Amino acid sequence: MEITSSNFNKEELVTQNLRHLFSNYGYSRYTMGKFEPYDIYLANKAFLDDEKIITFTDGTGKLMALKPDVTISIIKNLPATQKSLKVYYSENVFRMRAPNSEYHEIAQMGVEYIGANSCYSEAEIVYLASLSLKTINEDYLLNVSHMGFLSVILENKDLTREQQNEMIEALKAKNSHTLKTLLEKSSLSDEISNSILAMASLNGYYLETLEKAKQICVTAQMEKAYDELLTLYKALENTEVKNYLRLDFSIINDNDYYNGIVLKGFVRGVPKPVLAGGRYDKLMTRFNKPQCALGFALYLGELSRMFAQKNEFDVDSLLLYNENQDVAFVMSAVRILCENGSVRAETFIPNAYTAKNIYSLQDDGTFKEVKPC
Amino acid sequence: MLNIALPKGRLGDKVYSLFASIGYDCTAMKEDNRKLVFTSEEKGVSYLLVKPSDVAIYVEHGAADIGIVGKDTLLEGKNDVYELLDLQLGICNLAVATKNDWKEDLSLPLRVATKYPNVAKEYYSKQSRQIEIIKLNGSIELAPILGLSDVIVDIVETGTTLKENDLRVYEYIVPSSARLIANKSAYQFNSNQIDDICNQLKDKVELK
Repeated sequence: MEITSSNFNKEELVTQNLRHLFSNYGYSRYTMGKFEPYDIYLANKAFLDDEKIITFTDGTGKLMALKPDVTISIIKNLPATQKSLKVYYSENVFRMRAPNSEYHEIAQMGVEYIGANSCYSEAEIVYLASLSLKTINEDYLLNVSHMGFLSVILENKDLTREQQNEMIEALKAKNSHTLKTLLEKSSLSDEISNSILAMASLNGYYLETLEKAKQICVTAQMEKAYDELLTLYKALENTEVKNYLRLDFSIINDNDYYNGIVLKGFVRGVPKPVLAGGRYDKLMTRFNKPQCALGFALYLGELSRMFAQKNEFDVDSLLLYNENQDVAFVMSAVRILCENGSVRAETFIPNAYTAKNIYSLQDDGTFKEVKPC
Repeated sequence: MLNIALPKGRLGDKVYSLFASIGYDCTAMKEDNRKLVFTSEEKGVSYLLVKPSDVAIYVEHGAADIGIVGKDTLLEGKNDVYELLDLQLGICNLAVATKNDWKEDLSLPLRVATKYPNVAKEYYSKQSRQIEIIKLNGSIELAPILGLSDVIVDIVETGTTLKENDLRVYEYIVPSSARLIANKSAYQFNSNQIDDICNQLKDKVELK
Protein backbone atom coordinates (compact mmCIF):
# COMPACT_ATOMS: atom_id res chain seq x y z
CA MET A 1 0.00 0.00 0.00
CA GLU A 2 1.29 3.40 -0.95
CA ILE A 3 1.78 5.98 1.73
CA THR A 4 -0.43 8.98 1.17
CA SER A 5 -1.24 11.99 3.33
CA SER A 6 -4.36 10.15 4.49
CA ASN A 7 -2.11 7.78 6.43
CA PHE A 8 -1.14 10.66 8.71
CA ASN A 9 -3.46 12.14 11.23
CA LYS A 10 -3.84 15.91 11.19
CA GLU A 11 -1.23 16.41 13.88
CA GLU A 12 1.43 14.43 12.00
CA LEU A 13 0.54 16.23 8.81
CA VAL A 14 0.96 19.64 10.45
CA THR A 15 4.35 18.56 11.81
CA GLN A 16 5.44 17.45 8.34
CA ASN A 17 4.24 20.67 6.73
CA LEU A 18 5.98 22.79 9.36
CA ARG A 19 9.27 20.96 8.81
CA HIS A 20 8.89 21.55 5.11
CA LEU A 21 8.18 25.25 5.69
CA PHE A 22 11.19 25.78 7.95
CA SER A 23 13.64 23.94 5.73
CA ASN A 24 12.32 25.87 2.73
CA TYR A 25 13.51 29.06 4.40
CA GLY A 26 16.96 27.67 5.06
CA TYR A 27 16.54 26.39 8.61
CA SER A 28 18.15 23.05 9.35
CA ARG A 29 16.95 20.44 11.79
CA TYR A 30 18.46 20.45 15.27
CA THR A 31 18.07 17.39 17.48
CA MET A 32 19.32 16.80 20.97
CA GLY A 33 19.25 14.43 23.90
CA LYS A 34 16.47 14.24 26.40
CA PHE A 35 18.65 14.36 29.51
CA GLU A 36 20.84 17.23 30.60
CA PRO A 37 22.61 18.40 33.72
CA TYR A 38 20.19 20.36 35.87
CA ASP A 39 22.55 23.24 36.59
CA ILE A 40 22.13 24.93 33.20
CA TYR A 41 18.50 25.58 34.08
CA LEU A 42 19.08 26.53 37.66
CA ALA A 43 19.94 30.15 36.90
CA ASN A 44 17.23 30.53 34.29
CA LYS A 45 14.18 28.96 35.86
CA ALA A 46 12.09 32.07 35.21
CA PHE A 47 12.56 31.54 31.47
CA LEU A 48 10.29 28.51 31.81
CA ASP A 49 7.33 30.56 33.06
CA ASP A 50 7.76 29.20 36.57
CA GLU A 51 6.83 25.71 35.47
CA LYS A 52 8.94 23.19 37.28
CA ILE A 53 11.61 20.94 35.88
CA ILE A 54 11.46 17.18 36.31
CA THR A 55 14.75 16.03 37.80
CA PHE A 56 16.46 12.76 38.62
CA THR A 57 19.96 11.69 39.65
CA ASP A 58 22.27 9.85 37.29
CA GLY A 59 24.55 6.93 38.19
CA THR A 60 27.19 9.20 39.72
CA GLY A 61 24.71 11.12 41.84
CA LYS A 62 24.67 14.17 39.61
CA LEU A 63 21.33 15.98 39.36
CA MET A 64 19.90 15.72 35.87
CA ALA A 65 16.90 17.29 34.16
CA LEU A 66 14.45 15.89 31.67
CA LYS A 67 14.72 18.49 28.93
CA PRO A 68 12.24 21.24 29.82
CA ASP A 69 13.17 23.58 26.97
CA VAL A 70 15.03 23.58 23.69
CA THR A 71 16.10 27.20 23.25
CA ILE A 72 18.37 27.18 26.28
CA SER A 73 20.24 24.06 25.16
CA ILE A 74 20.76 25.48 21.67
CA ILE A 75 22.18 28.69 23.08
CA LYS A 76 24.32 26.96 25.66
CA ASN A 77 25.96 24.78 23.03
CA LEU A 78 26.51 27.62 20.59
CA PRO A 79 30.14 28.65 19.92
CA ALA A 80 30.56 32.36 20.64
CA THR A 81 32.38 32.71 17.33
CA GLN A 82 29.53 31.41 15.20
CA LYS A 83 28.04 34.42 13.47
CA SER A 84 24.81 32.94 12.25
CA LEU A 85 22.72 29.84 12.87
CA LYS A 86 19.27 29.07 11.54
CA VAL A 87 17.74 25.95 13.04
CA TYR A 88 14.38 24.42 13.76
CA TYR A 89 13.54 21.69 16.21
CA SER A 90 10.71 19.29 16.84
CA GLU A 91 11.05 17.80 20.30
CA ASN A 92 9.06 16.67 23.26
CA VAL A 93 9.83 18.64 26.40
CA PHE A 94 8.93 17.80 29.99
CA ARG A 95 7.52 20.04 32.67
CA MET A 96 5.87 19.72 36.04
CA ARG A 97 2.84 21.95 36.33
CA ALA A 98 1.18 23.60 39.30
CA PRO A 99 -1.07 23.25 41.19
CA ASN A 100 -1.03 19.45 41.29
CA SER A 101 2.60 18.90 40.17
CA GLU A 102 1.46 16.71 37.30
CA TYR A 103 4.08 15.58 34.82
CA HIS A 104 3.53 16.84 31.30
CA GLU A 105 5.12 15.82 28.04
CA ILE A 106 4.70 18.67 25.59
CA ALA A 107 5.25 18.45 21.85
CA GLN A 108 7.12 21.57 20.82
CA MET A 109 8.37 22.81 17.49
CA GLY A 110 10.27 25.98 16.99
CA VAL A 111 12.66 28.12 15.08
CA GLU A 112 15.79 29.87 16.32
CA TYR A 113 17.58 32.50 14.30
CA ILE A 114 20.91 33.22 15.96
CA GLY A 115 22.79 36.26 14.69
CA ALA A 116 19.54 37.95 13.77
CA ASN A 117 20.45 41.60 13.89
CA SER A 118 18.85 43.03 10.77
CA CYS A 119 15.36 44.33 10.17
CA TYR A 120 15.01 41.61 7.58
CA SER A 121 15.54 38.92 10.22
CA GLU A 122 12.59 40.25 12.22
CA ALA A 123 10.39 40.32 9.16
CA GLU A 124 11.42 36.76 8.31
CA ILE A 125 10.63 35.43 11.77
CA VAL A 126 7.26 37.18 11.91
CA TYR A 127 6.47 35.92 8.42
CA LEU A 128 7.43 32.35 9.34
CA ALA A 129 5.45 32.58 12.58
CA SER A 130 2.38 33.63 10.60
CA LEU A 131 2.78 30.84 8.06
CA SER A 132 3.28 28.31 10.87
CA LEU A 133 -0.01 29.36 12.43
CA LYS A 134 -1.68 29.19 9.04
CA THR A 135 -0.42 25.63 8.65
CA ILE A 136 -2.24 24.74 11.84
CA ASN A 137 -5.45 26.62 11.13
CA GLU A 138 -6.35 29.15 8.44
CA ASP A 139 -8.25 31.11 11.05
CA TYR A 140 -5.38 32.50 13.06
CA LEU A 141 -4.06 35.76 14.50
CA LEU A 142 -0.50 36.76 15.31
CA ASN A 143 -0.19 39.35 18.04
CA VAL A 144 2.91 41.50 17.97
CA SER A 145 4.25 43.82 20.63
CA HIS A 146 7.56 45.44 21.47
CA MET A 147 9.37 45.40 24.82
CA GLY A 148 10.58 48.94 24.08
CA PHE A 149 7.09 50.20 24.89
CA LEU A 150 7.28 48.60 28.32
CA SER A 151 10.57 50.27 29.15
CA VAL A 152 8.44 53.18 30.34
CA ILE A 153 7.45 50.90 33.23
CA LEU A 154 10.35 48.48 33.54
CA GLU A 155 13.16 51.00 33.33
CA ASN A 156 11.40 53.75 35.21
CA LYS A 157 13.46 54.82 38.22
CA ASP A 158 10.44 56.41 39.88
CA LEU A 159 8.85 53.00 40.35
CA THR A 160 9.84 50.29 42.82
CA ARG A 161 10.34 46.75 41.57
CA GLU A 162 7.06 45.78 43.19
CA GLN A 163 5.17 48.63 41.51
CA GLN A 164 6.65 47.64 38.18
CA ASN A 165 5.57 44.03 38.59
CA GLU A 166 2.06 45.00 39.67
CA MET A 167 1.69 47.27 36.65
CA ILE A 168 2.98 44.62 34.26
CA GLU A 169 0.58 42.06 35.73
CA ALA A 170 -2.32 44.50 35.29
CA LEU A 171 -1.25 45.24 31.73
CA LYS A 172 -1.03 41.53 30.92
CA ALA A 173 -4.62 41.11 32.11
CA LYS A 174 -5.80 44.25 30.23
CA ASN A 175 -6.88 45.31 33.69
CA SER A 176 -7.34 49.09 33.22
CA HIS A 177 -9.12 49.65 36.52
CA THR A 178 -6.32 48.19 38.62
CA LEU A 179 -3.67 49.85 36.47
CA LYS A 180 -5.37 53.20 37.01
CA THR A 181 -5.35 52.75 40.78
CA LEU A 182 -1.66 51.77 40.70
CA LEU A 183 -0.77 54.80 38.60
CA GLU A 184 -2.69 57.14 40.88
CA LYS A 185 -0.70 55.81 43.83
CA SER A 186 2.62 56.29 42.01
CA SER A 187 4.53 59.53 41.60
CA LEU A 188 4.55 59.41 37.81
CA SER A 189 3.67 62.47 35.76
CA ASP A 190 0.25 62.63 34.10
CA GLU A 191 1.83 62.32 30.68
CA ILE A 192 3.58 59.05 31.53
CA SER A 193 0.61 57.70 33.50
CA ASN A 194 -1.75 58.32 30.60
CA SER A 195 0.66 56.65 28.22
CA ILE A 196 0.85 53.53 30.40
CA LEU A 197 -2.90 53.43 30.94
CA ALA A 198 -3.55 53.75 27.22
CA MET A 199 -1.44 50.63 26.57
CA ALA A 200 -3.93 48.45 28.48
CA SER A 201 -6.60 49.02 25.87
CA LEU A 202 -4.38 49.32 22.78
CA ASN A 203 -5.02 46.33 20.58
CA GLY A 204 -6.36 45.66 17.14
CA TYR A 205 -5.39 45.87 13.48
CA TYR A 206 -1.66 46.39 13.22
CA LEU A 207 -1.32 49.66 11.35
CA GLU A 208 -4.37 51.30 12.90
CA THR A 209 -3.15 50.46 16.40
CA LEU A 210 0.39 51.51 15.59
CA GLU A 211 -0.87 54.97 14.64
CA LYS A 212 -2.55 55.20 18.05
CA ALA A 213 0.62 53.93 19.72
CA LYS A 214 2.55 56.77 18.12
CA GLN A 215 0.49 59.24 20.15
CA ILE A 216 1.54 57.69 23.45
CA CYS A 217 5.31 57.55 22.88
CA VAL A 218 6.83 59.48 25.78
CA THR A 219 10.38 58.12 25.81
CA ALA A 220 13.11 57.74 23.21
CA GLN A 221 12.90 53.95 23.61
CA MET A 222 9.22 54.02 22.78
CA GLU A 223 9.92 56.10 19.68
CA LYS A 224 12.54 53.59 18.64
CA ALA A 225 10.17 50.70 19.23
CA TYR A 226 7.54 52.48 17.17
CA ASP A 227 9.99 52.87 14.28
CA GLU A 228 10.92 49.18 14.45
CA LEU A 229 7.29 48.11 14.43
CA LEU A 230 6.60 50.36 11.45
CA THR A 231 9.60 49.00 9.51
CA LEU A 232 8.38 45.49 10.28
CA TYR A 233 4.95 46.28 8.92
CA LYS A 234 6.32 47.81 5.76
CA ALA A 235 8.37 44.67 5.14
CA LEU A 236 5.25 42.51 5.36
CA GLU A 237 2.75 44.89 3.80
CA ASN A 238 2.76 43.12 0.48
CA THR A 239 2.55 39.57 1.81
CA GLU A 240 -0.49 37.44 2.49
CA VAL A 241 0.06 37.55 6.26
CA LYS A 242 -0.59 41.29 6.54
CA ASN A 243 -4.25 40.95 7.48
CA TYR A 244 -3.54 38.45 10.25
CA LEU A 245 -1.19 40.68 12.22
CA ARG A 246 -2.43 42.44 15.32
CA LEU A 247 -0.71 44.80 17.66
CA ASP A 248 -1.44 44.15 21.32
CA PHE A 249 0.46 45.65 24.25
CA SER A 250 -0.82 43.09 26.73
CA ILE A 251 1.56 40.59 25.12
CA ILE A 252 4.55 40.72 27.45
CA ASN A 253 7.50 38.39 27.82
CA ASP A 254 9.96 38.24 30.69
CA ASN A 255 12.06 41.39 30.66
CA ASP A 256 15.11 39.48 31.92
CA TYR A 257 15.30 37.53 28.67
CA TYR A 258 13.42 39.38 25.96
CA ASN A 259 13.94 42.71 24.29
CA GLY A 260 12.59 44.02 20.99
CA ILE A 261 9.63 42.39 19.32
CA VAL A 262 7.40 39.92 21.13
CA LEU A 263 5.05 37.44 19.46
CA LYS A 264 2.04 35.47 20.56
CA GLY A 265 -0.11 33.45 18.18
CA PHE A 266 -3.66 32.18 18.47
CA VAL A 267 -5.82 29.90 16.36
CA ARG A 268 -9.59 29.81 16.65
CA GLY A 269 -10.89 27.07 18.87
CA VAL A 270 -7.78 26.67 21.01
CA PRO A 271 -8.18 28.48 24.34
CA LYS A 272 -4.47 29.13 24.90
CA PRO A 273 -1.79 30.73 22.76
CA VAL A 274 -0.15 28.17 20.47
CA LEU A 275 2.86 30.27 19.53
CA ALA A 276 5.18 32.43 21.61
CA GLY A 277 8.47 34.07 20.88
CA GLY A 278 10.36 37.22 20.09
CA ARG A 279 13.79 38.77 20.29
CA TYR A 280 15.87 37.38 23.16
CA ASP A 281 19.22 39.14 22.98
CA LYS A 282 19.15 39.42 26.77
CA LEU A 283 19.00 35.64 27.19
CA MET A 284 22.05 35.40 24.92
CA THR A 285 23.89 37.88 27.13
CA ARG A 286 23.07 35.80 30.19
CA PHE A 287 24.95 32.93 28.55
CA ASN A 288 27.82 35.24 27.60
CA LYS A 289 27.05 34.94 23.90
CA PRO A 290 27.63 38.03 21.79
CA GLN A 291 25.07 37.22 19.10
CA CYS A 292 21.57 38.60 18.75
CA ALA A 293 18.73 36.11 18.44
CA LEU A 294 15.11 35.73 17.43
CA GLY A 295 12.86 32.71 17.66
CA PHE A 296 9.49 31.27 18.40
CA ALA A 297 8.04 28.03 19.69
CA LEU A 298 4.82 26.28 18.76
CA TYR A 299 3.00 24.38 21.48
CA LEU A 300 1.56 21.53 19.50
CA GLY A 301 0.30 19.78 22.62
CA GLU A 302 -2.43 22.40 22.91
CA LEU A 303 -3.68 21.29 19.53
CA SER A 304 -4.10 17.56 19.96
CA ARG A 305 -7.69 18.02 21.10
CA MET A 306 -8.48 20.29 18.20
CA PHE A 307 -7.07 17.71 15.84
CA ALA A 308 -8.73 14.74 17.49
CA GLN A 309 -10.85 13.39 14.68
CA LYS A 310 -13.25 10.56 15.01
CA ASN A 311 -13.16 8.07 12.18
CA GLU A 312 -16.52 6.57 11.52
CA PHE A 313 -15.06 3.08 11.60
CA ASP A 314 -12.06 1.66 13.39
CA VAL A 315 -11.19 -0.44 10.34
CA ASP A 316 -12.43 -1.03 6.79
CA SER A 317 -12.86 -4.79 7.04
CA LEU A 318 -13.07 -7.08 9.99
CA LEU A 319 -12.36 -10.64 8.92
CA LEU A 320 -13.62 -13.44 11.12
CA TYR A 321 -11.91 -16.78 10.65
CA ASN A 322 -12.09 -19.89 12.76
CA GLU A 323 -9.21 -21.70 14.38
CA ASN A 324 -9.77 -24.89 12.38
CA GLN A 325 -8.98 -23.10 9.12
CA ASP A 326 -5.53 -23.51 7.57
CA VAL A 327 -3.13 -20.70 8.56
CA ALA A 328 -1.84 -20.10 5.03
CA PHE A 329 -5.44 -20.03 3.78
CA VAL A 330 -6.36 -17.33 6.33
CA MET A 331 -3.20 -15.40 5.57
CA SER A 332 -3.95 -15.22 1.86
CA ALA A 333 -7.52 -14.11 2.58
CA VAL A 334 -6.21 -11.28 4.78
CA ARG A 335 -3.81 -10.20 2.04
CA ILE A 336 -6.61 -10.07 -0.52
CA LEU A 337 -8.73 -7.83 1.72
CA CYS A 338 -5.74 -5.66 2.55
CA GLU A 339 -5.47 -4.56 -1.05
CA ASN A 340 -8.72 -2.63 -0.66
CA GLY A 341 -8.18 -0.97 2.69
CA SER A 342 -7.35 -1.82 6.25
CA VAL A 343 -8.22 -5.19 7.66
CA ARG A 344 -8.22 -6.78 11.09
CA ALA A 345 -8.36 -10.54 11.39
CA GLU A 346 -9.99 -12.00 14.48
CA THR A 347 -11.82 -15.10 15.59
CA PHE A 348 -14.55 -13.01 17.24
CA ILE A 349 -15.90 -9.45 17.05
CA PRO A 350 -13.89 -7.37 19.53
CA ASN A 351 -15.82 -5.38 22.09
CA ALA A 352 -16.96 -1.89 21.06
CA TYR A 353 -15.18 -2.17 17.72
CA THR A 354 -16.64 -0.87 14.49
CA ALA A 355 -15.86 -1.95 10.94
CA LYS A 356 -17.26 -0.80 7.62
CA ASN A 357 -17.67 -4.43 6.59
CA ILE A 358 -17.59 -7.56 8.67
CA TYR A 359 -16.82 -10.77 6.79
CA SER A 360 -16.74 -14.33 7.86
CA LEU A 361 -14.16 -16.41 5.99
CA GLN A 362 -15.85 -19.44 4.40
CA ASP A 363 -14.00 -22.71 3.90
CA ASP A 364 -14.34 -22.31 0.10
CA GLY A 365 -12.36 -19.03 0.27
CA THR A 366 -15.33 -16.67 -0.16
CA PHE A 367 -16.24 -13.87 2.22
CA LYS A 368 -19.68 -13.92 3.73
CA GLU A 369 -20.95 -10.61 5.03
CA VAL A 370 -21.95 -10.68 8.68
CA LYS A 371 -24.38 -8.19 10.20
CA PRO A 372 -23.03 -6.70 13.39
CA CYS A 373 -25.20 -7.63 16.32
CA MET B 1 -22.23 32.74 19.47
CA LEU B 2 -20.66 34.09 22.63
CA ASN B 3 -20.65 31.89 25.74
CA ILE B 4 -21.04 33.87 28.95
CA ALA B 5 -20.41 32.16 32.30
CA LEU B 6 -22.44 33.59 35.15
CA PRO B 7 -22.11 32.69 38.81
CA LYS B 8 -25.21 30.89 40.10
CA GLY B 9 -27.05 32.82 42.78
CA ARG B 10 -27.76 36.39 43.77
CA LEU B 11 -24.74 37.98 42.06
CA GLY B 12 -25.51 36.08 38.85
CA ASP B 13 -29.09 37.41 38.84
CA LYS B 14 -27.84 40.98 39.25
CA VAL B 15 -25.27 40.55 36.49
CA TYR B 16 -27.83 38.98 34.16
CA SER B 17 -30.11 42.05 34.53
CA LEU B 18 -27.10 44.19 33.67
CA PHE B 19 -26.47 42.19 30.49
CA ALA B 20 -30.20 42.25 29.66
CA SER B 21 -30.21 46.03 30.04
CA ILE B 22 -27.60 46.42 27.30
CA GLY B 23 -29.54 44.23 24.88
CA TYR B 24 -28.19 40.76 25.64
CA ASP B 25 -31.38 39.42 27.16
CA CYS B 26 -32.41 35.82 26.91
CA THR B 27 -36.10 35.13 27.49
CA ALA B 28 -35.46 31.54 28.57
CA MET B 29 -33.58 32.84 31.64
CA LYS B 30 -36.82 34.19 33.13
CA GLU B 31 -38.38 30.76 33.35
CA ASP B 32 -37.71 29.24 36.70
CA ASN B 33 -36.22 25.86 35.89
CA ARG B 34 -33.18 23.78 36.53
CA LYS B 35 -31.49 24.28 33.20
CA LEU B 36 -27.86 25.35 33.27
CA VAL B 37 -27.50 26.61 29.70
CA PHE B 38 -29.72 29.30 28.18
CA THR B 39 -29.29 30.24 24.55
CA SER B 40 -30.65 33.18 22.64
CA GLU B 41 -30.01 32.57 18.94
CA GLU B 42 -31.39 35.99 18.15
CA LYS B 43 -28.96 37.88 20.41
CA GLY B 44 -26.09 35.51 19.70
CA VAL B 45 -25.32 34.63 23.31
CA SER B 46 -25.45 31.59 25.55
CA TYR B 47 -25.49 31.93 29.31
CA LEU B 48 -23.93 29.17 31.41
CA LEU B 49 -24.81 29.04 35.08
CA VAL B 50 -21.88 27.67 37.06
CA LYS B 51 -20.64 27.59 40.63
CA PRO B 52 -19.10 31.03 41.38
CA SER B 53 -15.67 29.58 42.12
CA ASP B 54 -15.68 27.74 38.76
CA VAL B 55 -16.44 30.71 36.48
CA ALA B 56 -12.78 31.62 35.95
CA ILE B 57 -11.92 27.98 35.20
CA TYR B 58 -14.57 27.77 32.46
CA VAL B 59 -13.22 30.98 30.96
CA GLU B 60 -9.54 30.08 31.25
CA HIS B 61 -10.13 26.78 29.45
CA GLY B 62 -12.28 28.38 26.79
CA ALA B 63 -15.57 26.61 27.65
CA ALA B 64 -16.91 30.13 28.14
CA ASP B 65 -15.62 33.15 26.21
CA ILE B 66 -16.33 35.68 28.93
CA GLY B 67 -17.60 35.50 32.48
CA ILE B 68 -18.35 37.36 35.67
CA VAL B 69 -16.39 36.44 38.75
CA GLY B 70 -15.47 37.87 42.15
CA LYS B 71 -11.95 39.30 42.44
CA ASP B 72 -11.49 37.09 45.52
CA THR B 73 -11.76 33.89 43.46
CA LEU B 74 -9.52 35.37 40.74
CA LEU B 75 -6.84 36.11 43.32
CA GLU B 76 -7.14 32.61 44.71
CA GLY B 77 -7.17 30.83 41.33
CA LYS B 78 -4.55 33.04 39.62
CA ASN B 79 -6.35 32.23 36.36
CA ASP B 80 -4.69 33.35 33.17
CA VAL B 81 -7.50 35.51 31.78
CA TYR B 82 -8.11 39.11 30.81
CA GLU B 83 -9.77 41.15 33.55
CA LEU B 84 -11.59 43.79 31.54
CA LEU B 85 -13.89 45.62 33.92
CA ASP B 86 -14.73 46.18 37.57
CA LEU B 87 -18.53 45.92 37.74
CA GLN B 88 -18.69 47.42 41.25
CA LEU B 89 -21.16 44.71 42.26
CA GLY B 90 -20.90 42.30 45.16
CA ILE B 91 -18.45 44.63 46.87
CA CYS B 92 -16.69 43.10 49.87
CA ASN B 93 -13.25 42.74 51.45
CA LEU B 94 -10.87 39.86 51.87
CA ALA B 95 -9.85 40.17 55.46
CA VAL B 96 -8.20 38.48 58.41
CA ALA B 97 -10.72 38.01 61.22
CA THR B 98 -10.46 36.55 64.69
CA LYS B 99 -12.08 36.40 68.11
CA ASN B 100 -12.71 39.72 69.83
CA ASP B 101 -10.31 38.89 72.65
CA TRP B 102 -7.53 37.19 70.60
CA LYS B 103 -3.92 38.33 71.05
CA GLU B 104 -1.27 37.46 68.50
CA ASP B 105 1.58 35.21 69.69
CA LEU B 106 4.57 35.87 67.44
CA SER B 107 6.57 32.97 68.89
CA LEU B 108 4.32 30.40 67.20
CA PRO B 109 3.30 29.84 63.58
CA LEU B 110 -0.10 31.35 62.92
CA ARG B 111 -2.90 28.85 62.26
CA VAL B 112 -5.09 30.19 59.46
CA ALA B 113 -8.43 28.62 58.49
CA THR B 114 -9.62 29.66 55.07
CA LYS B 115 -11.28 28.94 51.74
CA TYR B 116 -8.49 31.01 50.19
CA PRO B 117 -5.18 29.19 50.90
CA ASN B 118 -3.27 30.95 48.10
CA VAL B 119 -4.39 34.41 49.15
CA ALA B 120 -3.49 33.64 52.76
CA LYS B 121 -0.10 32.18 51.83
CA GLU B 122 0.83 35.18 49.71
CA TYR B 123 -0.38 37.72 52.27
CA TYR B 124 1.62 36.22 55.13
CA SER B 125 4.73 35.37 53.10
CA LYS B 126 5.02 39.08 52.26
CA GLN B 127 5.26 39.64 56.01
CA SER B 128 7.62 36.67 56.43
CA ARG B 129 5.14 35.22 58.89
CA GLN B 130 5.13 31.45 59.20
CA ILE B 131 1.62 30.01 58.96
CA GLU B 132 -0.21 26.71 59.03
CA ILE B 133 -3.12 26.60 56.64
CA ILE B 134 -6.31 24.76 57.44
CA LYS B 135 -8.37 24.56 54.27
CA LEU B 136 -12.11 24.70 55.00
CA ASN B 137 -15.01 24.85 52.58
CA GLY B 138 -17.67 26.61 54.63
CA SER B 139 -18.66 28.00 58.07
CA ILE B 140 -15.14 29.32 58.37
CA GLU B 141 -16.21 31.46 61.35
CA LEU B 142 -16.42 28.34 63.49
CA ALA B 143 -12.69 27.68 63.32
CA PRO B 144 -11.40 30.33 65.79
CA ILE B 145 -14.39 29.79 68.09
CA LEU B 146 -13.55 26.12 68.47
CA GLY B 147 -9.82 26.77 68.64
CA LEU B 148 -9.22 25.04 65.31
CA SER B 149 -7.31 28.10 64.14
CA ASP B 150 -6.05 31.45 65.44
CA VAL B 151 -7.49 33.52 62.62
CA ILE B 152 -9.53 33.13 59.46
CA VAL B 153 -8.99 34.65 56.03
CA ASP B 154 -12.38 35.18 54.40
CA ILE B 155 -14.57 37.68 52.63
CA VAL B 156 -16.36 40.20 54.79
CA GLU B 157 -19.33 42.08 53.38
CA THR B 158 -21.18 43.80 56.21
CA GLY B 159 -19.48 42.12 59.15
CA THR B 160 -22.79 40.90 60.60
CA THR B 161 -21.82 37.22 60.57
CA LEU B 162 -18.58 38.08 62.37
CA LYS B 163 -20.36 40.19 64.98
CA GLU B 164 -22.95 37.52 65.70
CA ASN B 165 -20.14 35.04 66.36
CA ASP B 166 -18.08 37.35 68.60
CA LEU B 167 -15.48 37.86 65.89
CA ARG B 168 -13.95 41.03 64.44
CA VAL B 169 -11.92 42.09 61.44
CA TYR B 170 -8.25 42.06 62.46
CA GLU B 171 -6.71 43.31 59.20
CA TYR B 172 -8.08 44.09 55.74
CA ILE B 173 -6.19 42.36 52.92
CA VAL B 174 -7.73 43.58 49.68
CA PRO B 175 -11.10 44.83 48.43
CA SER B 176 -13.07 42.60 46.07
CA SER B 177 -15.98 43.01 43.65
CA ALA B 178 -17.35 41.35 40.52
CA ARG B 179 -15.13 41.52 37.44
CA LEU B 180 -15.74 40.93 33.74
CA ILE B 181 -13.17 38.43 32.50
CA ALA B 182 -12.39 37.05 29.04
CA ASN B 183 -10.51 34.08 27.62
CA LYS B 184 -7.29 35.35 26.06
CA SER B 185 -7.75 33.47 22.79
CA ALA B 186 -11.51 34.02 22.48
CA TYR B 187 -10.92 37.73 23.01
CA GLN B 188 -8.67 37.90 19.94
CA PHE B 189 -11.31 36.39 17.67
CA ASN B 190 -14.32 38.19 19.15
CA SER B 191 -12.73 41.46 20.24
CA ASN B 192 -15.39 43.65 18.58
CA GLN B 193 -18.28 42.00 20.39
CA ILE B 194 -16.44 41.69 23.70
CA ASP B 195 -15.22 45.30 23.59
CA ASP B 196 -18.76 46.39 22.78
CA ILE B 197 -20.16 44.52 25.79
CA CYS B 198 -17.37 45.84 27.99
CA ASN B 199 -17.92 49.48 26.94
CA GLN B 200 -21.68 49.31 27.36
CA LEU B 201 -21.33 47.69 30.80
CA LYS B 202 -18.79 50.35 31.71
CA ASP B 203 -21.29 53.11 30.86
CA LYS B 204 -23.92 51.39 33.02
CA VAL B 205 -21.48 51.02 35.93
CA GLU B 206 -20.40 54.65 35.72
CA LEU B 207 -24.01 55.83 35.66
CA LYS B 208 -24.64 54.33 39.09
